[in-house]
Amino acid sequence: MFGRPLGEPLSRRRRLAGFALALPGLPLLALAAHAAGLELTGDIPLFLAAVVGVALVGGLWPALVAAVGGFLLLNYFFVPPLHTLAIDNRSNLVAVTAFVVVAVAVSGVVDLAARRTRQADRAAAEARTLARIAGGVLRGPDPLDALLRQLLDTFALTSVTLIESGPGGWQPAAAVAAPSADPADSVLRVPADDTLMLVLRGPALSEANRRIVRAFAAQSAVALRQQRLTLAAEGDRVRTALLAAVGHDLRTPLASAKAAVAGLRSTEVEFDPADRDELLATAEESLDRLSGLVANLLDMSRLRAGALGMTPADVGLEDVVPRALDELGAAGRTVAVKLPDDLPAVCADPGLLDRVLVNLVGNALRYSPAGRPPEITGAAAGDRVELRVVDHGPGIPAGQWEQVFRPFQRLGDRNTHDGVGLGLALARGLAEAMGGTLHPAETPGGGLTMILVLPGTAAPPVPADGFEVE
Amino acid sequence: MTRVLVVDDDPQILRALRINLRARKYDVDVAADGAGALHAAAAHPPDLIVLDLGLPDMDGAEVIRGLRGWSAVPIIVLSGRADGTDKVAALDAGADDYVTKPFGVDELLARIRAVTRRVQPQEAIATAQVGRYTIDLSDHTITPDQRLTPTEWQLLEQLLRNPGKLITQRQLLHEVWGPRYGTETNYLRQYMARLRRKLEDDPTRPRHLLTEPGMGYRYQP
Repeated sequence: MFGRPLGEPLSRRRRLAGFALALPGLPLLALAAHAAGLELTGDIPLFLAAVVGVALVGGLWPALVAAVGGFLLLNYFFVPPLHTLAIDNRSNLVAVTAFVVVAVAVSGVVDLAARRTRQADRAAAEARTLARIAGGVLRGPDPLDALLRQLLDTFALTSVTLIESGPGGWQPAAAVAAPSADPADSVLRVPADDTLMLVLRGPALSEANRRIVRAFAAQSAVALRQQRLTLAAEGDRVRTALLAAVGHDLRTPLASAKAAVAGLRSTEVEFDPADRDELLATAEESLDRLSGLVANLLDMSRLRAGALGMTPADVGLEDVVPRALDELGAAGRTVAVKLPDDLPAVCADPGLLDRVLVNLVGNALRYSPAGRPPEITGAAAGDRVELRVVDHGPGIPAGQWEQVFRPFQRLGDRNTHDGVGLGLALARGLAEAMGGTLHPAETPGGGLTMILVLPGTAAPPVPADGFEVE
Repeated sequence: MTRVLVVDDDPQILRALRINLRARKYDVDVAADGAGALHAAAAHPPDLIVLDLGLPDMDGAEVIRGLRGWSAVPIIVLSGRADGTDKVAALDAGADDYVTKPFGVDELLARIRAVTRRVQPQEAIATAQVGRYTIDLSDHTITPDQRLTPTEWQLLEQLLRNPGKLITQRQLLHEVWGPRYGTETNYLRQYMARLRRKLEDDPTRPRHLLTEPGMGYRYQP
């Protein structure tokens, strides 16, 4: 990156300024010196100073022109015989020749120094850019995005994309883009490592800026790998927490069922009929809880794996709601159902819709105060059907609504009847898999209302049956 | 004695069902896979088959088609809750009813009684009870008085004559509306809603005229 021995030439503008200074400047200097009646011994240092000045302004070539011009002017105006280019005095010849040699040497040195300064300025600018990018990258929470964005901003690009080669060809792995793209943009591809490449779209970059981009292409590859490692670690953490929660919730009912059955099988004790019944009821209730939890876990893993078997059918909510309530046992019988007679059927998988309803109503029952059971209402909304599960419990602040749909999150304390907080996450996932939506709202007067919206079916009219005698 | 063939690859289920059914005076054969089931059914023709859909060697619907080639024996399939598609395929292949795992033995016994009752002559059922109404199928009267349209009567009669048994949507549409009908499930939905409003104590929580969503209907005595 710093392998150029002479550095870059000075700019064209500076060179022209050097010529502009040299061409009228030296003759004027000669006229002024002549008018002042200076001797050759005074003229030579004066002209030498002028050549150095030209070299400082315009670099090597203007300085050489100034040196040659200075030699000719000195010779013509100040070296006897005057007004000729001949020199008859040996010491004058030495003096004028020394002037030319010194002028040329000084021009070269000054020019080299100017180039080096310029090169140093440029290197410092690059270093500042690199430091700025690196600093932003290391500090931010999303290093890869920060890095790409910094490149975008620093070089006023329209887009920066990190692409990755995989079995299906090059695929974007990360990208940032400015709001508008310019069709005249040029495209620069910079390999980051064996499988990654940085693609920059925007104004053409200078060679120096390309060097910076090359350095950061490698950095972006590192940032991407880092990001993936972090995600994997996060996934592991969630899985571990999930296993712990699921393990606890599976073991609890298993333990009570096992204890009940083992007790009944024991030959050492005699249970009276009431105790036997209670133990058997314990075993069955525990197994019911277990099967509910396993059903949710299986559905959740099918949903996550995209392996949900779905058989959509035209389903009447008046048919699936009572069945779901039956599954919830005695508590389910308290729920008030108010569905209009002319509610259109929904297009849904009956089994999955049942799971959605069981989880929604189960959740509503869990938070309902004694004596104020949840209600279920339905209404047509355009070509969709809206089902509301309304509870009068403590409700949830609107800011935390989205949290309840995250798996294994339950607001407030857990108790052993609840199982893991999978129900609402599953209900939303299944609703969305069936082309529906699930959103919370506030119950007027307090509580939470879950609004399930499903695609309705446009059923053809039923032929009239005109023999009815009411 | 009624001979039941139970087909399941899980020995625990086989044991539990064998003991429960024998205790209720059924003669029980067991098979652990589809090939064994077909073989057992041919060797000792059963009066009823309880067939798990998740067999290791054959698709459940395949077993049913293999049986239906030569036998009209009632078949009840056992299926996982998530196997909605398999359940529909099994019913289409000729299964009579289904029970979803995990199930209570009472539920399975009720289904077994319903599908084995089919062989009795239909005239045997003269009256049926729906909530507080007694329905006389021979002279088409309801006590206390309740009027039904002809279509409502036909639909109700199909259900009441098969107590406890699943009648598929297609079957009902064929029987009541005619052979050209088979997909007009909204007809069934509307007429069932009317019947429930007229006969059920609480139409929003029906106890007798039940829907198996996506499958069919069932009269629960």
